[in-house]
Amino acid sequence: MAELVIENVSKKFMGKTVLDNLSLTIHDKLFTTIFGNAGAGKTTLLRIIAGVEKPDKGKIYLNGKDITTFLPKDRNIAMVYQSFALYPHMTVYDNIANPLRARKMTKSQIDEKVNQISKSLGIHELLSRYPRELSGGQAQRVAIARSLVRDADVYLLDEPLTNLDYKIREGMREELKKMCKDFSATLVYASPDPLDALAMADRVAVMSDGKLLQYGPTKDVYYTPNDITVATIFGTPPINVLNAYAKEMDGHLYLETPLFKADVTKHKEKLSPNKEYKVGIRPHHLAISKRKVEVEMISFLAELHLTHVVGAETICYARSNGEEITIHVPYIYRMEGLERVYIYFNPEHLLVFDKDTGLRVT
Amino acid sequence: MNKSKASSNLIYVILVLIVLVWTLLPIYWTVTAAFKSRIEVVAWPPTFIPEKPTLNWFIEVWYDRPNINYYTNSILAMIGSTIIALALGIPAAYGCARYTFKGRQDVLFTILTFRFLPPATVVMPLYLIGRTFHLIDTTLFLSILYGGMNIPIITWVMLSYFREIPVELEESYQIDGYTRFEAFRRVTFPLARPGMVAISMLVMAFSFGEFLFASILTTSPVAKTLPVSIAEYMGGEWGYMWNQMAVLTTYGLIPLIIIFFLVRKNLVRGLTFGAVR
Repeated sequence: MAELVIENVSKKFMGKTVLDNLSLTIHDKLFTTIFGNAGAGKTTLLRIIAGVEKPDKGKIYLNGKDITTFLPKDRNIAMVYQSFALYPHMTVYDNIANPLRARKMTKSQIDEKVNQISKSLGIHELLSRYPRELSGGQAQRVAIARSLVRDADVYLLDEPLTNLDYKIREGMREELKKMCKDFSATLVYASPDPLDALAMADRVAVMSDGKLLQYGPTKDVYYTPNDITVATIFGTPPINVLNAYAKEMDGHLYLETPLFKADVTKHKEKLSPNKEYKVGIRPHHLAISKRKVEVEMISFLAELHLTHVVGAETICYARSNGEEITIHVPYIYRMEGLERVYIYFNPEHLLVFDKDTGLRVT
Repeated sequence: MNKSKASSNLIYVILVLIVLVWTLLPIYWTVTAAFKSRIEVVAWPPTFIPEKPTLNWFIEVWYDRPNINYYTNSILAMIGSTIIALALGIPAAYGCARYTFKGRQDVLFTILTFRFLPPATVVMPLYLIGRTFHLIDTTLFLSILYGGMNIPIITWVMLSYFREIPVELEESYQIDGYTRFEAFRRVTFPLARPGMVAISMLVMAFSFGEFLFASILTTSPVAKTLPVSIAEYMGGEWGYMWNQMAVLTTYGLIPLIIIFFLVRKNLVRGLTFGAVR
C-alpha cells in the first residue's frame, strides 16, 4: 500500500517560480504520468518527492507519514533519471546491487535479487560490463533494474525514454506498462510526450508553468479537458481551435465558426446566445473525403496542402477560409497536388471553451 | 596519399625526437655528471659517457654537509604542503561546483588572484610574519606557504573536474540509500581521482623544488631544503661544485619518480565517460 500526497508544494529557483502551490495525490499501484512541456516543473517535482531537493513550502506525505524533511535514503522511494545516472566506475551488477547493499542484505540475497531482475529485463548477460560498454537501450534497462530491484513504495521515472531512439521507445512503452502491472508497482512517470501518457498511464497530471492544470484518469483528461490549455498541450498533433459565435435561430442554438455551423441546442443551458466561444476538435476526430458524403455529420470544404505519413497513419494539413486545420487519419494518404476535400466530423466530439476564461463549457 | 602519410609520419617522429632530446638531455647530463670526476665534469667538449665512473659523490654528499636533513625537510615540506593544499582546495572546489551561492564567482576569482602575486613581492612581509609567530626556520611554515600557493591551482583544476561529474550520480546514490557524504566518497571521489592525482603530482613537484621562500625563510639544517643546499654548492672557496649539485639533483629526482610510478594508473582519464548520455 503506497499513497503519496503532495500538499501545496512551492519551489523557486533564483526568484523564478518552478512549482506553484501544487497538490497531488498519487494512488497505490497505479501508473501515473506527470505530463508537461519542458520547464513545466516535472523534474523538480520528482526531485522533491525523492528528497534531493527541498520544497520552499508545502508537505510530502507517504502512507500518511510526513516525509518532507526526510533524507532521500530514509524515504524508500526509487528514481530513474533521464540521463540514467549509472555509476561509471561500477559494473552493471554493482550498479544494480547498490541499493540492496545499502539495505545490508546478505550476499546471497543480493545475488538472487540481481539475477532475478536482470533476467526479467533481459540484461542478465551484461552484468559484468561497465556502463560505457552499454548501448542506450541497455543502459536504460540497467537504470530501471537498479530502481525496480528495490522494494520501494514509489518508483519515479524522469523522462526515461527521451534519450532513446524511436524504435526502442515504442518497445519500452509496452514493457514499462507490463512491468508496472507485474511488479504491482506505484509508478510516477514524468514525460513531455502525450503519447507516453496515452500509451501507458492510468492517471495523468497535466502541468504547465509549475501549476497542476488537471489530474485524473488518462481517458477523462484527454476527452474532457478542463480548459483550452490542457486540450492544446495534451494531445498530438495539437487540437484544432476555432473562434465561434453562438446564435439562436428558430428555437435552435447554433455555434458559428468560419468553417461550419454546428447545432448545439442540446447544450442550450450551458451556452448563451450572442456570445463568443472557442471550439476545439481533435485531429483524429476529423475525416477526409473527396466527395460529399451524406451522413449525419458536419462537413466543410478545405484545401489540402500537406500530408505527412507517420508509420501507417497520416497527418494532413488543410486550409479553409483562412483557418489552418490538422487532420489525423488512420491510413496512408498521399496527396497529388493541392486537393479540395470535404472534412467531416461528428458534432459530439466538439469541445466548447469559454473565450475569456478558457474553461471547457461542454 | 601514401607518400604524404609517410612524410607526415616522418615529421611526427622528428617532433617527438626534438621533445625527447629537449626534456631528457638535461636530465641525462645531470645524472651522468654525478658519476664524473671533478675534472671531467667541466671538460670541453663534454663527454657523454663518464670515462671513469665513480660513486664517490653519492656517498660524499651525505658527509660533507647535513644533506640528509635537507633532503628529509624537502620531503616533509612536500608532503605537508600537499596535504594542506588538498585538504583546503578540494572542499573549496567541491563547494563551488555543487552549490550556487551569492558571490561564488567572486570567491573563485579571489582564490585565483593569490596566484597572480609574484612571490618575491611577499617574501619580506612573510619573513616578518614568520618571525612574529616564531615560524622562521620551520618545515611547518614552508608547508603552510607552499600549501597556500597551491590552493588556487588545486581549486581551479578540481572545480572543472567536479563540474564534469554529473550531480545526478550523487543524487542517485543517495536515493539508493546512502548519505550525501557516502555519495561523495564512493562516487565523486573515485571519479575525480585521476584529476586529484595529476594535480597532486604538480603540487608535490612544485613544493619539492621551491627555492625562493626556502632560501630566505630557513636558516639551519632544522628546516633548510634540498634546493637551498644545492645552491650553496655554487661559488665559495671550491668554486662551482657541479658533481655535488648533480648528485643532489639526482637524489631529488628519486622521490618524484617513485611517486609517479605508484600513481601512474590513476592518471588514466576517461572514467567519467559513459556516465551520462
